[in-house]
Amino acid sequence: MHYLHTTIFTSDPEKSRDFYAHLGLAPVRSLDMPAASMSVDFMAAGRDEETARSTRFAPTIAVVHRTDGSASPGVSHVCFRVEDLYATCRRLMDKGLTLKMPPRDGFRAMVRAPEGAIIEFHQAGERQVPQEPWISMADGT
Amino acid sequence: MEYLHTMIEVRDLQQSLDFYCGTLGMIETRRMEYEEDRCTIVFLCAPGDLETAQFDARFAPNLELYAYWDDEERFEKSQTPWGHLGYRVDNIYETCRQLMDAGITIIRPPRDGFRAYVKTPEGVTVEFIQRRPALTPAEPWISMPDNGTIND
Repeated sequence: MHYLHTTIFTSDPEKSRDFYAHLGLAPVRSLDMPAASMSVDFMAAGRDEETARSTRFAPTIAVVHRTDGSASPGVSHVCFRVEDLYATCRRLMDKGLTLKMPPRDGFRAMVRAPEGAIIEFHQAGERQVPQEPWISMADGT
Repeated sequence: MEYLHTMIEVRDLQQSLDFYCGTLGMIETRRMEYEEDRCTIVFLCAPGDLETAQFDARFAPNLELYAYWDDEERFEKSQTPWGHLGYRVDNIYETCRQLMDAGITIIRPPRDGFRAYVKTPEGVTVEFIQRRPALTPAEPWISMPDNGTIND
């Protein structure tokens, strides 16, 4: 398990990109995902660029714009990469936690820490084959 | 410049440690008790980050759990558990000078030669930490007042 990024929602991606550039962060990857109504700029500090541009892809901030306006600006969550996403999720559920987003796609999942902070997990390497019980599991709160 | 940590404010430190360390398997890398500010700060890293996170010279990437001892101060300033993002810089005076030249307000100037805060236009607080050793306190920073409030 290792840290990937902290996700920050923005209502104005261009302005945010400029601002974070002034702070000393450079974009290392940008994704446009119209199907998910979002775009994202991953940005890294100078000394982090080498690892951020490598397959480790960390540490960065993910500056996310929801094009449907569904997210209010500010820090949304932190994200970690895990070796076995299903094992991580099973461990959380064994502790009585509800998944905010079960790993239906075999790649991503989210849980709320005590007191509300959202923690996201990404599967390392190739995504896992989607399977039950995750496929049928609805989002939690 | 390099990423250090993301801060999360918590009320019940033990409950959070049970979650981050007990359930997720994260590792405590440093704990600080501040009598003056009446708070405990615990830094945690993922096991895969231990190689860099546990050493003072790098000390990243970590999560910073920030717990006030007294109820009245908890979550007083903000509605979310998220605090600042921290970055280490080579020369905090140069960094702050460049930010001011770009028209960015320094919320807390580096009066101590070690630490400064700015806020993004959408309210996210960013902390800058001087690579050790701290710089000698100097003008114009010493006389510069705070300009706005920090979400820690």
